[in-house]
Amino acid sequence: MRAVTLHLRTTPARWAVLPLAALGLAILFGRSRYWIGIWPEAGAAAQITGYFLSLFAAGVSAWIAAQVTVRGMREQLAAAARRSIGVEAGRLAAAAAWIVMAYLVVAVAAFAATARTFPPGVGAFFSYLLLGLVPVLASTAWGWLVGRLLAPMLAAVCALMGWFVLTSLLGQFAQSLRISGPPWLALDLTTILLRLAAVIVLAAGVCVIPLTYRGRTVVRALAGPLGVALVVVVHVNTTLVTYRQPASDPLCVQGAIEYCLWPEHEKYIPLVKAADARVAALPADLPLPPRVVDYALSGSTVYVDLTHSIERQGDFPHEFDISEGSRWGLARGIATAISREIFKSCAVQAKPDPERRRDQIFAWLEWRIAGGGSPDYTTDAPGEMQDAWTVGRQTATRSEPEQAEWVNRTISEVKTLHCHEQ
Amino acid sequence: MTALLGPNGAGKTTLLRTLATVQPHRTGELVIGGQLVASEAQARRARRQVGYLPQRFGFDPRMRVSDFVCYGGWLRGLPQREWRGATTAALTHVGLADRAGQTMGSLSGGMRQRAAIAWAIVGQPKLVLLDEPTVGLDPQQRLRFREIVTSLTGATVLLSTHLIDDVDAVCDRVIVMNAGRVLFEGPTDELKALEQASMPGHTPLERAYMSLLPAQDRDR
Repeated sequence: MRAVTLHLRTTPARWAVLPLAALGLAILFGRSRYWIGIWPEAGAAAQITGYFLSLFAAGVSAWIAAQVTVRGMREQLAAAARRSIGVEAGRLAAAAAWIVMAYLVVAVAAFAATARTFPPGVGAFFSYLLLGLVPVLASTAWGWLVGRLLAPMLAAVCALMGWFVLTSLLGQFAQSLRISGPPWLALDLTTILLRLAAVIVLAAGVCVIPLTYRGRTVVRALAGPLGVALVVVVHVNTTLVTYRQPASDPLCVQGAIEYCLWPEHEKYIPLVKAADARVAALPADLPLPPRVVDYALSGSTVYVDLTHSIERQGDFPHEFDISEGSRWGLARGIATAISREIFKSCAVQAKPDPERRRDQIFAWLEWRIAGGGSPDYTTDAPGEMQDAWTVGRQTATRSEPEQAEWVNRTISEVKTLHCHEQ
Repeated sequence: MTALLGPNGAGKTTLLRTLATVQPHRTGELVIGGQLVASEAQARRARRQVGYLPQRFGFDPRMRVSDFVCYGGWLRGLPQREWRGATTAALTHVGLADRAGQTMGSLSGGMRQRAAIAWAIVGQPKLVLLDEPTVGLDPQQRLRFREIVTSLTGATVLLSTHLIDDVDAVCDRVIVMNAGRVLFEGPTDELKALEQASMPGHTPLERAYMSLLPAQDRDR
């Protein structure tokens, strides 16, 4: 038997793996399923589950660390011939290994669910996986720190609540989590590794807290809190997410319009084809744009970072947002592109249109391309605009000849009454 | 086999903790196995030779008996290649070899105490410190304990107790302490020779022990 095996066999953390893994799987598959089949989204789903697990990991870790006092083992550990940092490191590492195991069960499930179709971009999955390790390991170290100071139940509750408060506060100043993993964003691996390194320093700091009041106890006792401070400082001073350059080999589907997607969005091709079939069924005399592209793929915007971007002038294809597999997001983008094509020469409105006919046309197109039903988004648009959308959507339920007549008439009215032809 | 006798508060546990290098000594020098213990590094070296069973020893009830003892060996710094053999030897010594796979929580109180002794003797330390190991044991378990302790050969055993029966049964030397001072140190028979018939007690050793204590401590 090796020391690793011995520690893994003796830590109470081994009893926490199954409940944590079960909880993780429930969160992973219960929260949403759109991520299945898209590597970065699958990685982000596993990663955000890792955050939820980290809350409980903090409690479990604190409870285990405090067991030394409750079980009366402090004296036995203090009499060890091994360095106290080694003894604590062994206990903490074993607890962390089992907790990470629970996280890895979640990660493997997310991987397996997506590996069935194995789309492009598997590398992004692992970067999100690594990001998820940061809260899992940091919470374990944090919990251990609290557990060394308080009684088990109190320590577990305080560690869990404290970790929630700490991460919530940290979220105000630094990006530490990703709710989703769109393909146009990339994680900075250096940042993740730096954060992991800070967490390891925290864990080491927690391990040097003395078991007995002997030697340079004050200096050693400060190591844990200083480790927490280091983790916070590193999080605040590093940038986690950057925009990716538009893919040089986008995945394009030719139909009534050419649709180009990020290669990672391969699974949305059937959704795009279905939308294209509905575009093809629109009245034949409607002008269509040659091409629409996935979000951040047109090159019209140069993203400096998450808060700064530069808009480029030129004839760029219109973008749609198909995130989370939303047919309404896709339809909205295509409808906007077609609407822009229809009113291409209609640059400036001559006089206001109280009926907002352009919005009626847009809503009609959106409803048709989405395939009907209720939109999957909420809006706080002005009342007149929402009234116009209602008119457009209601029209979309009429017969085809009636719709064609309404569309031609409405477009004509807009062009003649409410815009200057360029 | 040396007994450490004395009333509550005599300093028995303090002495054992000092010898186990868990508690720093304020004055004097600590020498274990001929080596001065004045620094943490020296203390760690000394601990390799010391098996210490505190008065309240701790364990995780879900831990296997063999893992519990093996962990004790790891803490003592035993090389990995010796763990298995040392664990088996210690468990055999205390008669728990057939319970190695059970959890600590499933053992009776007496068996737990034996497992704790196995923890203390795993790897055959040269000095074994047992602090009140028979507290809470029934007579049968105490007899079993005595058998185990008397069979510990090759090690100096320092047994802290206030049960004079145990001393009489297993120890060949006695140290009597009171209020942090050594009142007597010598062979058990020599202590018995100090017996005074007027002292309270049921055995010669009890009466001899009582005769060493100051009058105010005798009446406590």
